[in-house]
Amino acid sequence: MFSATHSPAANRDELFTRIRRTVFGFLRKRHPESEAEDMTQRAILVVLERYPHISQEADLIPLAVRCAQFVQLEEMRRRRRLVQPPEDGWNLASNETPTEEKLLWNARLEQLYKAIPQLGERCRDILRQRLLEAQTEAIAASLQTTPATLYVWESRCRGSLQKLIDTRAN
Amino acid sequence: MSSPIPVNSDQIQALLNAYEFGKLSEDEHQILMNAALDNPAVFEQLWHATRHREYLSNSNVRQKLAAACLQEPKAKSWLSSWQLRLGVPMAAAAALAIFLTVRPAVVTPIGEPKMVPMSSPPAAKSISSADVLFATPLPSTPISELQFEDLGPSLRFTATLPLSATLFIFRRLSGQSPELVWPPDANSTAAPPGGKLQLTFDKTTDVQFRVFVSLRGADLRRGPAAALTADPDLQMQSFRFPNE
Repeated sequence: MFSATHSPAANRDELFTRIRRTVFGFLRKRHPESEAEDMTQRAILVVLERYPHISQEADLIPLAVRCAQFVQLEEMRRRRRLVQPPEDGWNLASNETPTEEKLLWNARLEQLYKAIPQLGERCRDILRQRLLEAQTEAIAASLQTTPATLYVWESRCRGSLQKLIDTRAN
Repeated sequence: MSSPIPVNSDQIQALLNAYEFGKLSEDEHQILMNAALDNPAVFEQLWHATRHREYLSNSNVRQKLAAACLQEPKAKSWLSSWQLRLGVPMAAAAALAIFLTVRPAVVTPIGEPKMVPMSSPPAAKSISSADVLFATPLPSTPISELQFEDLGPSLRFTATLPLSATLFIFRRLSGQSPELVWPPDANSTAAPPGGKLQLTFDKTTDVQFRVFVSLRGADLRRGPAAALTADPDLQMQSFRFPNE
């Protein structure tokens, strides 16, 4: 389906520069610039210091996203003076989810449960079929459309769902 | 530097779907990650998809989400609109209690001692009596809309008043006496014209994981004595977020 063009991380520094730039670009839209810069730096540091063995671009990017999410969470806690993170920070390498993170995880999931019924009928139908692991072609056929149109619909549904979650969160 | 990869938006959606369900091949994974680095919009979707992926890796969660898909959308109630606006980030803020009391601006002056907050607003101790006065709720508060917005370090509260009305707003932090925040000082009118009234609160330093918001309205049109009269039909409007 896709013409895969591999892009091996020939230059690790350059890769980190790109990741840093992208993460910063994302966080800057949600936080003051200096704060976004600080969070980006911390996220990259976590990746560099705790995961030196991971060097593949495809692994580093989701890892950086996850670290940036944790750093963002820490920052939110710090600003609101909520429960302090452990002295050595969250143990991202552990499978054991920190309690606070678990609470937030549950709360976000709860938002998801509440947001889904607010979606339109078609979006709910598509999502349900996805959750039941139906193939794209089968979902498209059930909705009497093409896979390309289905993807457009899904994209809109994804946006609607995120908007509902954001509304609930704010 | 990675090579540019020709992927269109349909393909990105397909990749994101597969990523959320953990079904990307190595090549596809590589393509998606490249696209995320090249395109901020894709990165943003990847950011959210990373969270969804965690949920979707759990079969129980998948089942519950599928069940949620079968639920019909509920008509928005006043309460649900509150719940919509008071989500998790808000809940992570400090415990905050706001007491509102509203009366029409044309009401005959009451002239009774419990209105002291109007002339000496910040004296928290003197407000304790007002707290008692305002304890009787108004069944239909003439505030058509209430909103909380999380502005990061602060919370913005917006009340939409369809009519000119006298408005007192008290904030009570957890374990403390209420303090008057509207009107802002003794010389300000407590009767803003109809329309939107916006106030911004600093988030407090209390460690709380939920917000308790309570609204109380006392109908002073009937006079303070009537306001203090217990009315079994009047219900306290009180909400706790998140629901337990």
